[in-house]
Formats: sequence, structure tokens, C-alpha cells
Amino acid sequence: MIEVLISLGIISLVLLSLLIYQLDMIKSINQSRLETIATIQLMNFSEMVLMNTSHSARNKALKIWNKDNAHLLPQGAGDYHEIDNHQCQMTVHWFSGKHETQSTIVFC
Amino acid sequence: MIALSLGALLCIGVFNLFNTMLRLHEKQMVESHVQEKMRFMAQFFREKIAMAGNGSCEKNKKPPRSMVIRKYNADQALDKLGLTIKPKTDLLQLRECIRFHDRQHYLPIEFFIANTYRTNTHQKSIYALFMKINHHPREELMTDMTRLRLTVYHCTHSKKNRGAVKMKYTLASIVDSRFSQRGVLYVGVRKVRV
Repeated sequence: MIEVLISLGIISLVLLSLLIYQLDMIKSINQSRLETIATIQLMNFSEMVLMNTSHSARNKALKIWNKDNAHLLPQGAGDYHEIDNHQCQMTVHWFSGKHETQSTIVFC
Repeated sequence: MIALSLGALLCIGVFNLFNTMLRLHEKQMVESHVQEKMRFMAQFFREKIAMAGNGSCEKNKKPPRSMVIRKYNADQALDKLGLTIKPKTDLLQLRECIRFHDRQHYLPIEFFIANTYRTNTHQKSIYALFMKINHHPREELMTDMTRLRLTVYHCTHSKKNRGAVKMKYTLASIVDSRFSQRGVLYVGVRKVRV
């Protein structure tokens, strides 16, 4: 009987470690989902900046974009600034356990 | 007796662990499928919308003058196009050169959400994103898309009259009915007027 108990104990340990591994996977998939959303949001804003050339139109677009960021990402917000002639750096940040940031430099 | 009861307890534990693992695996699959769909949406529509109005395949004809991007709500879609789409969703109509019957043609393409007339395990209707080229039958592009709202912008630009489309969509899952993922896509039209 003791052998059965030991083997069951070993099986449960193995399954427990597999469970922990799967929980880790869920976490990383969720993280990757948020990163995908952030990337799409950055691409969206680069299009917005290209389409809206005036300063006021870009500020309006930034407000709309940040509304979407707040809807799609936990505590999501973003900003942009011109770093060079026709080069803009866009950043989006969000919170999922820790502060995450993604940024890109595009032609604008 | 003690060993038997301990063994039974361990068995129940192992069984529960196995069940939880199955559920977690299901959740992983749902999440990864939704991500895949989001990437597909971004890539597919960016290309389609950016190229709207491209009539380069019609070499011998005059450049197309009709509107290249149009938005219809459910009522307008039924009245003007004869298409039944999901209520409170929009239909996107683009005109561009598309490969059709082994040749490039400048044709209207419609994208909309409609009932697939299939049901999930909870006997709820499954909706999908459909693509329809000209007067040909609709094609199912992506299953389990439940919402599509559109905004068409006329952007002010110093030299060209440019346009843009903003799509707000919701993706669901057949496997997990409680799961839904919202998404936003903004694409500028590279060609003529909208």
C-alpha cells in the first residue's frame, strides 16, 4: 500500500509542477496579448500622426488615442514627441503587475 | 484503512489537478487564438484600407471617380445593398483592384458581421466577419467577431485630400462564451478621396 501512496505522491508533485508551469504560461500569454495591443496602438498612432499634420489636429488625435489606450490596456496611456526633423518617438505604457513600456520611432 | 483513505484523497487531488490543467490549457488556446485574430485584423485591414481607391488595374479606363470608402449601418446595408448584417454594427465598403477569377478587377468589397446560422454549445448564434466581392456570395473571413463600428475621417492635409478609417471591434470565443477582446484599428487611406 505504501508503494501506491508514494507513487500517487510523486504523480501529484509532477502534476503540481505542471500546473505551476501552465499558470506561468497563462501569465506570459496575457503579457503577450497586452504587448500585441500596445504594438497595434503604436501603429494606429503613427497613422494618426501621418494623417493629421497640423499641431492642433495631432493634439486632438493624441487625446482620442489615449482614450483608446485607457480602454484597451490596464492604466494605459501614451505620448509622443518630435526628436528630429520629421522623426517622432511614440511611447505607450501600461500596468500589469509592473510598469511596462513600448515605444517606437516613426516618420511623421 | 488509513492508507486507503489517504490514497482516495490523493486520487481526488490528482483528478482535480488534471481538470484544472485542462481548463488552463483551454484558456491558453482561447487567448492565443484571439491574439492571432487581432494580428490578422491589423495586417489584413491595414493593407486593404491603405490601398482603397487603387484603380491601377483598369488601364484602359478613366480613373475611378466613385467614393472609395463607404460606411453603412445595418438599416442602410439592407436598403442599399440588400445585405442583412448584425444590428448595431457597421458595414465597410472599399473599392480597389483585387484578384478575382485570375484577373485584377477594380471592384467594391464589403466587410460586415452577420449570422453564420451555426450555434455554439450554449445554443447561441455564432457571428462572423464576412467579405463580399461585388455581387458574389459572401465569404467567412473570421469566426466569432461580434462588433464592428466604423468612423470615416476626412483629414485636413496641406496638399492632398486624405482620409482615414477607424475600426472598433470585439472578438469573442466559441469555447469560452464569457471571453471577449476589444480592439481598435486606425488606418489612413493612401489613395484618392473618401
